[in-house]
Amino acid sequence: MVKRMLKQRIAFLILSVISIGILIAMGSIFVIIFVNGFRVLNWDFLTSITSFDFKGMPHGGIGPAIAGTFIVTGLGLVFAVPIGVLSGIYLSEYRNRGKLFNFLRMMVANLAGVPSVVHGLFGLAVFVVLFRFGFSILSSALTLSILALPIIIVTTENAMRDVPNELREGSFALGSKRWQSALLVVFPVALPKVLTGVILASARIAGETAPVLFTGATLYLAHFPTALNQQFMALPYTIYGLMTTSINIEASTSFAYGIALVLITLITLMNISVVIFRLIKRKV
Amino acid sequence: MKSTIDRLISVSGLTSIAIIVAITFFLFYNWIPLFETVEPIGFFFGTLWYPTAVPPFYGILPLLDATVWISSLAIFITIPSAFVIAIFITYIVPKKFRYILKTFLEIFSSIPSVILGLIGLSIVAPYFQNVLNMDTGQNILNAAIMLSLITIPMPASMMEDFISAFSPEQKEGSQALGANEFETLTRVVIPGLKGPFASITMLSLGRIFGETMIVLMVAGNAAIFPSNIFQPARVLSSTIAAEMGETPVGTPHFYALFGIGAILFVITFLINVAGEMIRFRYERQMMK
Repeated sequence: MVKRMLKQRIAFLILSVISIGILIAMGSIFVIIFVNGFRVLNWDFLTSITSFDFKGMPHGGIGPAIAGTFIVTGLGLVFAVPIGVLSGIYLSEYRNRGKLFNFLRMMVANLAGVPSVVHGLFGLAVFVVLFRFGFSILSSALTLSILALPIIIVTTENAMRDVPNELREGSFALGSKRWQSALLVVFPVALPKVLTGVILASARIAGETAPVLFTGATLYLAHFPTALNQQFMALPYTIYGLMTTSINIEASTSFAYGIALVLITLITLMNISVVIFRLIKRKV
Repeated sequence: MKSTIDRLISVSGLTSIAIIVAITFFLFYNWIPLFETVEPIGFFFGTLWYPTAVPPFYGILPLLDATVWISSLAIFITIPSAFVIAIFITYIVPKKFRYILKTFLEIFSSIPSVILGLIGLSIVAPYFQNVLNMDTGQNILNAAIMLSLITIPMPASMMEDFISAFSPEQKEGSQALGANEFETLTRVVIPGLKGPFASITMLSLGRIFGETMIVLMVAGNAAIFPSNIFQPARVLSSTIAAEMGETPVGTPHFYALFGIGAILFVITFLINVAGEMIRFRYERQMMK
């Protein structure tokens, strides 16, 4: 008996050491980004235009990249949210059982599993070449909207499902049609949770590099974006560009850490807001 | 009686299918013209990938080989680590920290992969090269470690859900027979969760397989057949990302990169379908 308890103790101790090791490695990534990024961070870095001197040293700031990331993410959501929400409503209110439902759900899961570089190829073939949108903000935003879609569909479906059935029955009893019950009665109740899905989706697409690589992002732009048919700078792509094409590695690396800190702060804030929202919901 | 709004919602509901069909179509549509200039055998079984040489070689075998190396090593690190963390969270951590840890994992997994690439390139690679005396720090091992780090949270969190939701009757039964927590875990819970764990492994593999930026930045990008994990390598996904930017539309190189994309898409699709099928089956079993 003592021997067996000892065995359990030792096993749990080893498991704890390994787990804590991995968790520390994960935590240290946040610390590394913060420490290295904080050194280059100042107001000028956040707002001014990037330039490179003849030695390949990056100067100035990342204003256009921040603007570019906000614009493609926002525009991507404009395309993805209406379709994603209606699609989620369809899965929860219109076809919530049966073979087609299972098939549709599996397709949504598969769409979420498509590698992001394949989305980039699709965007290149369809938006850049076929629709002749060129390498542009519009092409990239459309490509990113496809990445956001499954996240919005799944959260909308789950949010609608969590609404108690009595509400639907009540509204049907009062003679409302299916779409009236879905959009005017159930959806408003589900809305806060749908919004968390939208935030998660934007956190996801703001950090994507591969889908914008060959649909519109560029490493260097001397101005802020002014039209949807322009190429643009994006935070994740600028990190990649600085780390792989620059001649002056040391200067580029510290610049890249500055961008990484801005990007990780943006994304983590969005995620934390979702976490806080869930906590409030749980307590109510 | 269907109103216009009903129709609008129904059409939106089918978007995911439409997009999957469209992706499949456009990948193949831009791949097929390759075979006007390149033999299928040369593409699938060619051992040289020199798309810009004269004459060019479009053999994807070295890329496929490297993908298998990196994905297997990454999954070999990811799944046991995720499993250990899942047990740690369910059995060892005090209850009030559980939610905090799971939240931390969720937030960590949302770090963009390009940032993991930055860390791998600027910290892990120099360490490998200067301290551990490897020939190059940008190699298969580095890429696999960074890939595992970003992948671990998803399977860890899913495994934790399954372990803590595992039938309380069976756990209590085992403990009533005198088994302690660890024995119950290894002899009752783990054998009972083989199916879900298989499904979680497939889903993780699907992610690792398609991940692009980390491998592109960290694996060293040499299109050779690696013979050990300390060598640089170039995988399918990162080849597309590295080369598509400089490839003119409508050239054989362009078509070949779409071919790689199609292969990547088909393989991840099959891996995900297999993972989902196992999950559906076990969810139904566990409901009973």
